[in-house]
Amino acid sequence: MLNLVSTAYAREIKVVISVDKTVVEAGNYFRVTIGVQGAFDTDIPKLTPPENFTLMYGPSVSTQTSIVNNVVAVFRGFTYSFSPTETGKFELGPATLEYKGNVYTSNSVEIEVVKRTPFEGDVDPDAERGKRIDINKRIFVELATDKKEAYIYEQIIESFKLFFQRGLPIDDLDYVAASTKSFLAEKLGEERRYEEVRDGILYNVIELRTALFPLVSGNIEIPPAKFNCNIIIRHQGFSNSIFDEFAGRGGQKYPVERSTDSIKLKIKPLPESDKPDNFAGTVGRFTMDVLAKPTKVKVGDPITLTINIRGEGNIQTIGEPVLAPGDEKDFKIYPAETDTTITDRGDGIKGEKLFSRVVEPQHEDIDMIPAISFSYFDPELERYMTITHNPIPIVVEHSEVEIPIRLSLEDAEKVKGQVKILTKDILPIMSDLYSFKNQGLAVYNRPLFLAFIFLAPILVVIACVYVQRYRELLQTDVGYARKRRALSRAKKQLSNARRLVQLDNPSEFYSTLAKTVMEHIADKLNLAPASITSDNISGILENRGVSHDVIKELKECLESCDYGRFSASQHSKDQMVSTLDTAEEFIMHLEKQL
Amino acid sequence: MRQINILMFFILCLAFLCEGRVLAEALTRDSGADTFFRANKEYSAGQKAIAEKREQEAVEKFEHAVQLYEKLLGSGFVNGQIYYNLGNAYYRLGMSGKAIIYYRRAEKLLPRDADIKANINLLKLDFEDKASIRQLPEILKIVCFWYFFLNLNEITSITIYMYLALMASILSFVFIKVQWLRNIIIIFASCLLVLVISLGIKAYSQHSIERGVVVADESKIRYGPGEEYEPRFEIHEGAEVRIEEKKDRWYKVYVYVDVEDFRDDEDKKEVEFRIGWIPEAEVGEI
Repeated sequence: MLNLVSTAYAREIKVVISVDKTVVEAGNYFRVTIGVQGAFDTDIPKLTPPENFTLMYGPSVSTQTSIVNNVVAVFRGFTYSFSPTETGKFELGPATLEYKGNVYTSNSVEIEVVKRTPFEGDVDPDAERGKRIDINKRIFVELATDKKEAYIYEQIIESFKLFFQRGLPIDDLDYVAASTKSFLAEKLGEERRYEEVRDGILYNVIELRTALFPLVSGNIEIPPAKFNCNIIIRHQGFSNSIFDEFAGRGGQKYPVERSTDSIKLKIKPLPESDKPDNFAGTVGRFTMDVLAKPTKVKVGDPITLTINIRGEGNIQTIGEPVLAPGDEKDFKIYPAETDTTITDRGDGIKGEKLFSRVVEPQHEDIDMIPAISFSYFDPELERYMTITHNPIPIVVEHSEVEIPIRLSLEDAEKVKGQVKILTKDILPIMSDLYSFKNQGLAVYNRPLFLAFIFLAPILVVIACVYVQRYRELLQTDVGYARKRRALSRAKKQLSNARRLVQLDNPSEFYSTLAKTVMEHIADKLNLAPASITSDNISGILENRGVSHDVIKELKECLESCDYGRFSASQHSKDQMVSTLDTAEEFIMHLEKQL
Repeated sequence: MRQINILMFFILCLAFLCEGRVLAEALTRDSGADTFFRANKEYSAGQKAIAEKREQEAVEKFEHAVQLYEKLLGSGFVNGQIYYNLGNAYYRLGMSGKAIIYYRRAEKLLPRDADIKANINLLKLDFEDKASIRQLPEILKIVCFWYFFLNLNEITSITIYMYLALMASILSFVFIKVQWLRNIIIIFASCLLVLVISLGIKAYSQHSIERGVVVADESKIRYGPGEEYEPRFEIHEGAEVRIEEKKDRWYKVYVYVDVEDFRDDEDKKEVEFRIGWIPEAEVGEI
């Protein structure tokens, strides 16, 4: 049933608009993502931007599929980049989507366009403050609990959430958990990662959850949790916004510290009325299974009673179930051994506690083991519950075993001084079942395991050394870094140029293409872009051993670009595509030769 | 992302395998513990019968206990406590040689247990032959305490942990190059070296050197592997030997008990006087 409900929910279509920032400078860029949840075969949602918003690129389509609790969730994102030209407040959206005869409408987002800050050489102290305000919106933390009121020993789920904007390069994450002195704390599973829209902005969320069991009643405050990290910022000239320059590699680290609000909880004591006599402080929801083995024994033989308490709550503190009172001479009862297992840490602590108790019937007239009862407090029903297991029938037969010999202290002679050894005999047998395990299954008899244990760390170390060296090289050797990133950068710019072909903007297209080619060569050769011109490029490439065919391709491409930029004649799309293909071929050929 | 998925799959497979092994081990343990419990009960009943002068019943009980312990060992379940208890049961049945064999096996698995040593020493008092195993200096036992206090499996486990700690510190040093990490690596590497050497020596002494105990009341050590060879000297039940060679149901052994220093040639070493051949049936392997 639950599955059906979940599946239905997952198939519901939802359209959401999100932006990377709500305040943007005129002439600067911002990204808009129209997210469609629940289907991956939809058309592109229709979005009518304000007139003074210029589309820079888009849509770029991304698809995500996630499976949570057996429910498949599909998300498809259409990302655009706009550049506003005028200041003011503008409403972006709603976007509409037609899918299988239905029309879905999204939310809308208000964008505030502010004046562009002129670039100045001097450091502006206000600008620093401005950055911090911007960072505050891009990364923040929250601490919450699933309930504000609870009973003592009741399970409370504490959730710490870190919100940070997509693409924000953060590193050295350090979470200082809130002090939980008045609670027993158990970590719940691994961290959860998902996306959430807040005030129209899409955030990545990392959630850490802890189960808390209050140990005292009264008004208790959970102090703020702290979170520290570094944001990596790469400085470059001609930047409109400092965060547009985030590259995530080799930048300067800016420490960021966040702390949550504190949380006030009201912890109620357990009610005194109707408290069962055998209540031992267990709070939660539980079930009980009892197994007695064997049920046919001789007098004095052991019967193992296995009592399994299973449920949700603090498993460690489950009290021992009690046997109904009977004649003390009926059974010899040994202390119980316990074994606690936590089976689930997903949505709260769930598990079981096993009590193994040995009882020995002392005469043949016994025909059953007394009833076993267990009491707990159910915080949801707000009352005490008692589970009682019926008496277990057993058969006790006559035994030939004699009554054990008892040594009487009264009979022993009290001798002062040196003790005389009466007899020499071996020491008694060992019967320690606790440490009784198969020692034949020794570690050194498992060659595959040993090979894995010894080889895996070596491989990990080698891989890490390689990765670290690569990272250091990227950070320290600018030429190497430029060369490594040249192709991906060129591909990105060529992709932009291809969009300009679709927009039929020849002058912009040729200008972009020429710039792409020149910058690519500059990156590959680690030269300043300004030092490369159409006139000296051939010579530079020849000196580097580039073949004449490739240089010829370059010349053709640059000539086409110059012609396209500076001639007054009309240019067809085919011509632009042809020039673009030439540029792509040149870049690929150059990649092989440099 | 794909690599992470592959890694996760690999880890899950490993966890599944380990889990399966642990479960199988737990099942074997339960069944083993049940047999062990019954055997102990039989032994205790035999002990009680001795106290009450019911000797015939005591013998039956001890024999039954021996059967149960042997059955447990035959099923592949090995534990120092079983060996020790079996040694006790054999002693009660008057088989001191066999008792020593099982005490020695128990000693390998439970090197810290004082009861085993006490019983071996007690049994040796009654043996006809005086053992002359060279005792190691006490200071060596203190300095290399881990070698004498840990069994082979424990030393292996500690070596693995030390190796993993060393690798973890090297891994940390790749990313954080600080002096104290370098010192930790040196410490871990030194400890690992010592442990590996200890492990090698222990594994060699336990698996490469075969030892045995004479189980016959008296046994003749002959010059060669066969009855046709003249006896060289005679040893008795409980005498410990090192098996050097096996040939046609005969063992070439080095005896640890004292041998009369009768040298026909002054150049011959003492070792040569202690070596001889003994029938396989008269020696039990430790």
